[in-house]
Amino acid sequence: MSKILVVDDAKNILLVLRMSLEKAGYEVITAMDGITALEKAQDLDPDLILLDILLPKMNGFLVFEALKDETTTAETPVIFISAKAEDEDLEKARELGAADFLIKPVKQEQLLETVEKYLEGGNENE
Amino acid sequence: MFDKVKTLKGKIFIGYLLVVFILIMVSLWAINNFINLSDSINNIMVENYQSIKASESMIESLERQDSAMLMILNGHNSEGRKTFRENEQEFLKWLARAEDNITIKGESNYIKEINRNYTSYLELFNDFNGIESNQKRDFYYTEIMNNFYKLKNSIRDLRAINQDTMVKAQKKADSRANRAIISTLAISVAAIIIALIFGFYLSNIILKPIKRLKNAVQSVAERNFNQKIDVKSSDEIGELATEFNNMIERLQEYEKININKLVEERDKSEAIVNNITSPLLVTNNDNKVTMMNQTAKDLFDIKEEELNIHFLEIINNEELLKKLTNRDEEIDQTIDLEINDKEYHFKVSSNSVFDEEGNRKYTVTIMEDVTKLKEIDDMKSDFVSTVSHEFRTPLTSMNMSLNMLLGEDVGEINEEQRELLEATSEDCERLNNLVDDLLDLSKIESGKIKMEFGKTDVKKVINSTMKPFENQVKEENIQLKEDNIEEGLIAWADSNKISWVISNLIGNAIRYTPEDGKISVGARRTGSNIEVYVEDTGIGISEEYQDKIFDKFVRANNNDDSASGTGLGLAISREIIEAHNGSIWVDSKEGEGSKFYFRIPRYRHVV
Repeated sequence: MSKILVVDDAKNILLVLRMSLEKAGYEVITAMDGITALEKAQDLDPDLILLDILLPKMNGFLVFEALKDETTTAETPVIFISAKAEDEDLEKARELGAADFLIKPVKQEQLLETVEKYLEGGNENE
Repeated sequence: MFDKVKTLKGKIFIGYLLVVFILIMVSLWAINNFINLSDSINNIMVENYQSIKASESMIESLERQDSAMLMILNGHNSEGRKTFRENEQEFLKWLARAEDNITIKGESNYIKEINRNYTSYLELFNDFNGIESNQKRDFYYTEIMNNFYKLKNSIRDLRAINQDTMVKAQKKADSRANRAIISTLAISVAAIIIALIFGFYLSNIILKPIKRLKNAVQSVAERNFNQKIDVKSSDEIGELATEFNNMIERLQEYEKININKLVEERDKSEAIVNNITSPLLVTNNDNKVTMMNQTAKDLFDIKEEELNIHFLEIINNEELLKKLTNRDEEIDQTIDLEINDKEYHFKVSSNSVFDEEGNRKYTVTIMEDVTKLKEIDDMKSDFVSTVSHEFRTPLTSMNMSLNMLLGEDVGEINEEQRELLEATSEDCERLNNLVDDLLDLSKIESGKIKMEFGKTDVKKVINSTMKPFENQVKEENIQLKEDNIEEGLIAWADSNKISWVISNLIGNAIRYTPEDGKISVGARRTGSNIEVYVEDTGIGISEEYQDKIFDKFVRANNNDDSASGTGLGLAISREIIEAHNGSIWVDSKEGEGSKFYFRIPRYRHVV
């Protein structure tokens, strides 16, 4: 079962994302700020990370850079998921090497499609 | 003397009269001289000549008398006596004439001598006749001969004295003639000098006031009205001067009125200019700033005496200057300036002042300080953007929750629950679109969306925009067609944004057009623009709304539930078209349909 780390400071988003993904057969870990996210990523080594940009203490881009610096998570695909989706944000995400960018509001099918793309056979063991 | 003569004509006449008088005097003097001269010549000729002629005639007749005596000596008595007597008569006649013509002092003494000698000569002749023939010869040689010479000498003396006198008289006449020449010459010279002096004086008298008049006229021509001509004479020039002074006075009054008016106008203009609270600059053709109002001076820290500096020294914005000088129309543009470490935003509008020939003379530039407005506008955009972002997160969770519920991922739901959830989902979707449009609008308004201009084939854009609607119009039984757009309509535009606008217009048309309706899209060239229209046979827009529908959140038909627009589409369309420097408007009749137009430029331009 693929492990997905979902990082977002809005607890309702975390709830719906977790429920959607769990229903689709993924194991979901959540974090509500950047520091926690880094710790959990280090400890639990997820297969995919969904990362919000607007986060308290440490924003998504900084978290992304920190993840890339750690050997455990350097190769883990990261999908940004944010309401803040100006041209410069998309550009920056691309430059940093993000796997994809989901713009809020995200539709369920869109979410699952994207996640599937980076986790082959993730939902086989339902 | 001249001042008493009233007219110029009189003055000139008197001047000539004086010259004529001098001429006459000189002539009289010369004539007098000539008369004197001829008198003295006459005296010589007549008086002395007569005495001389008498002397010579007396000598001649005396010679003949002597010859008569010689004839008697030779025996011709009677003939001799006859000749003698005849010549005696002759002699006495000339003697009498000489006696009548005594002109020289001492001349009478000479005549008395002649008389005495001739008397004794006649007595001797009588004696000669009385003596014997043989004694006659002796008598002649001893007595008469002697007397004869004595008499002849006395006559010669008379002649000599007269000749002397004649020579003297001639000398006298000579010297008199010389004196006459010299004196005539002197008097003529004096007369010429007097005439010259007089002429000079006269012309001065006449010309001086004329010269003063001329100088005055000249300085009046140079607009110097502060002078009067002081001409005292009362002749024609005096009158002219008086009239001239009157004219100057009137000119002065006129000028004063004019100046007062000008000053008033200038004060008014200055008051207006200085009361304009926005900075105002006036530039001339060399782009030198010739005038600034107080606000502008304070803002740019320029003093009055520092004026006439170049525009760029005050506002270092070459692009703006280019626009100011190149364009004949007004400009209306916003510029950013940093003055004293403070950021300012100005809305610059400019107008040119032309002369009668249509050449630009001045450019008036008003800079409206819109810093505050810009700040507020920026705040508004930021606010809208932030709020929209904040909306998106809850919308995401709502949307996904509803989807999961409707998809029965978390358990079955009954029909009523489904209906409620679907209604909620629909409005959630609408809220979502609203947030999207709001964000787009705020981005365009704040200039965050970059326009990507390029040559755009309008026909292609229209066709590709129409494609996605094909299915929808089929379902709703609406006919959507292109209105035979000609090839090669190229506009200078951002093709994606223009496509968005056309798509929005078509979407609106479909939304408000009932079944069996018709929607046509067309385009054509109008001057330097391309005009695009979307025409429908829908419900139309009432006149009162036609102006407002391009404002935010205005929908012509509020109680129509089927209309699911956000009310921002046309506002965004207008922003996009205006960013192209174009225009958008609608032509509509309620119940018959609407026709939306927009125009965008064909050529590259400064936005």
